[in-house]
Amino acid sequence: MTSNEKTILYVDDDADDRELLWEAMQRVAPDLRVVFAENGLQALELLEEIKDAKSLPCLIVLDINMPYLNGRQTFARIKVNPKLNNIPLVILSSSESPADKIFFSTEDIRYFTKPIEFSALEDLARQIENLCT
Amino acid sequence: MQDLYNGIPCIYFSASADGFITEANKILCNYLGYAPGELIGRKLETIFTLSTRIFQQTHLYPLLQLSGQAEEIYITLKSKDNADLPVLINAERKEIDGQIHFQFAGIGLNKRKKFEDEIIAAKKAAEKALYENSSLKSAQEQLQKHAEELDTQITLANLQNRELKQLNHLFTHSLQEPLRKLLFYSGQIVESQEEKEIIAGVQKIKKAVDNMSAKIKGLQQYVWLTNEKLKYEAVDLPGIIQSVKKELELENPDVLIVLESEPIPLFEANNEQMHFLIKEILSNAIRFRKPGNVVNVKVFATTLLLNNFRQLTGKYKYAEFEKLEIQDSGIGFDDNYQDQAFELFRTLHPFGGLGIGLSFCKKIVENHNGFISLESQQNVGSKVIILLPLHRLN
Repeated sequence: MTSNEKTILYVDDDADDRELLWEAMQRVAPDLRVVFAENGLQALELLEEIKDAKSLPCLIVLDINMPYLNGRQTFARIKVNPKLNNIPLVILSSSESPADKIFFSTEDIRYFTKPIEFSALEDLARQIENLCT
Repeated sequence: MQDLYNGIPCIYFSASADGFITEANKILCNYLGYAPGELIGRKLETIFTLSTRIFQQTHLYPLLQLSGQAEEIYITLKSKDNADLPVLINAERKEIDGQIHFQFAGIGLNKRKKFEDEIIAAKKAAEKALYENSSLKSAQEQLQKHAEELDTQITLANLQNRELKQLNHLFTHSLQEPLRKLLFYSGQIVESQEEKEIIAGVQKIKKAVDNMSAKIKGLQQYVWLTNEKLKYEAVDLPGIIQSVKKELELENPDVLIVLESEPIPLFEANNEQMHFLIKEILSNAIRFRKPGNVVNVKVFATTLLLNNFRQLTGKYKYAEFEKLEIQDSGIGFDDNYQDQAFELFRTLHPFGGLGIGLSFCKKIVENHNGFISLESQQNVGSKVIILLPLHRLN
């Protein structure tokens, strides 16, 4: 990640979903760079490696069901990390669990459900672009 | 003569042939509550109870007539106030001056009876105490048995609770994911104009269907492991390890498994599930081997005693367990997350398959009331540690 371009960090263990969001972002916001992590642990390692605050991502898109550190655990670690807790964060998950939705709602975190149509994914990509200020 | 029989420390009396008391010493009189001399001239019936009289007529006198004497005869005399007093007597038939006399000497057994009663009472008390002690022991055994059952039930409830959570995750996530992809890619195919996109979409659908099919198959196997009533038998684990090694070498002809194993005793388990367990563990050693075709596996075995109470504190019942450590030299993983490694359909490796194998291993070991854990270090290898009871635990 460099300071010259805006980057989003998409954390998801599902390779198909990573590929689909990348494809949608390419169509909607080709200038926005997408960096991937396969789970929360890898995401935190990746973020910790960034020394320059300007190079931090403009948005973290976080899945919930992942190995090692899941979405909730990753969020909890980011929240207490002063270097990272100013980065906007949204959830992108297939989980319809009310417990997950309530948890992130009380934390004032936007919760997107993974779409089942590509057009809806493109809409989501636009919203992500808008959130990446 | 009178002084002589009055001075002897026992009961003495005599009677004429027609049944009149001719002599009765002081001890007898005292014993029966008569004044000295009061009994002289009275009929024997005065001091003989009805049963003694019958005995006298039917046994004692015929015996005296026949042999002249009788020894250690237990009879009951009647006191002045009609109380029954037991005595043990010797009797003799004597002819004095042409007259037949019967002489009786003996001892009163009233105190002995009292002692006997006390002994019987003490014996009864001892028997009661013994019964109460055995009742207490039995109650303690029942309590221990109930504690064991409670401990087993709590363990089972915890396992079932964990399984329910896993099944919830399975139905809300693991099986939903391929379904979502089916919907997504089929929609893409319908809207697509390009053959290339359609082919890519169909391939993605096939992948999702295969994934779902494999998960359902895995779930069926898991249910089989859950519902199967275990048939216990003597298991030869070294034999199973060798047999699995051959199977895996046939399935992976490019792989060489180098195996070293310490001696493992026979233990009671289900042969089929032990085979399944070893195959999953050795399959993982192959799947997560370092680049190259050689898979090194070492099996260490130790017998130890473990408390069989898992939940209740302060309770102990030790049983023999075999500790098996199956060490590979593969790529390993971060064992801080080993709990996830045993979850159904959870894979910690990006190319780790469906995440079924280790959850099956855990299920099999728990079916046998055992324990399983992992130690692993990235780029060093993994060690599966299994504790299995040597004998079936109820």
